[in-house]
Amino acid sequence: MIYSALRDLVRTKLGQPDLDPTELDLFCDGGRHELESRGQYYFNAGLKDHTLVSGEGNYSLTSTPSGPNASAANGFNLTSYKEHRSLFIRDVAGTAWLGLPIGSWQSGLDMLPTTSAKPQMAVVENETLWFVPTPNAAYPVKLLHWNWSANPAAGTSTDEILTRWYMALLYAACWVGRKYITQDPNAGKDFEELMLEQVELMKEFTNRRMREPVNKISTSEAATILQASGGEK
Amino acid sequence: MIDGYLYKSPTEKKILTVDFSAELPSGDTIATATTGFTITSMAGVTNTSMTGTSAISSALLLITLNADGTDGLDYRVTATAKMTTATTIFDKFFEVRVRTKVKV
Repeated sequence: MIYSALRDLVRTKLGQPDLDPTELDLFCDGGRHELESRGQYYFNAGLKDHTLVSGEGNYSLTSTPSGPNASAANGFNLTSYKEHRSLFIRDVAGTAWLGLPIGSWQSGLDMLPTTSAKPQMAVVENETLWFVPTPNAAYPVKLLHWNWSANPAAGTSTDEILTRWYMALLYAACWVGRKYITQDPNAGKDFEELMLEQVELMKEFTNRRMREPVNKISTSEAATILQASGGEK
Repeated sequence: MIDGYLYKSPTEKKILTVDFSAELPSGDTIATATTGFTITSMAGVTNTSMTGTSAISSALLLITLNADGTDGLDYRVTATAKMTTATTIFDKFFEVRVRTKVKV
């Protein structure tokens, strides 16, 4: 289904064929957000290769440079970054990828040395990824993460949700629209229930497609899988 | 807020009738100069895939949309009329949805 077909169906289901396009896009964007705020799906998965900068401990996840020692090579530039999954690191001249635990500031500060070294863990603070200790070399890292997706800019375009899970987005957009139009938080319960059914289907399929353990796997197990597959996802 | 919408297929040639009678002061007319229309994408970007011509008929601006446009796209047609005596200018906005399959 192309995006304009979904927009036509939302107008029809809401009984508002002359719905303002700005409001219509608001409903469709809001519907997608409702879906993706309820789970992680296979089409949100991403892998980012990056190289750390010696002497720089914090990295913006969403833009390029950040932090007091920011360089142009600093940020991960994941503009649609949602959440992290797993993190891996290898020595500069090495080939083996090792899982790098992503922990809390408490555990990070406890093991914070006074000198730079190979990072032993990472901490995510909002949109910043901290490596502890601060790297002393340009270590390659791989960040498995989840992205937010967005409705296509063009009405003639489509994507995975619109191709495989269009009913989920239709119900979600109608639910958002019905609540908006009526200004009643209890409005559109029928659409909400239909949407939640679709969300469960999407979650089940994601677990099958991504082999359930991958979502819950330990970083060391994932590192083994990564190495066995030649270092690429 | 749009003032109206219409569906057309890419092969249809259709007339969009824009009525400025409510805006036209008594005894005034719509001036030829400045009156006309523009077609953009809904995001306001210049489009090249949909074209048309226009003519003034009393208080009406008749916009003939040619047999073109891209299936699946929504176009914004901005109709502009300038009053001859009052020199005021009015815009009206329409959404033209080009579809070959769904016509709801």
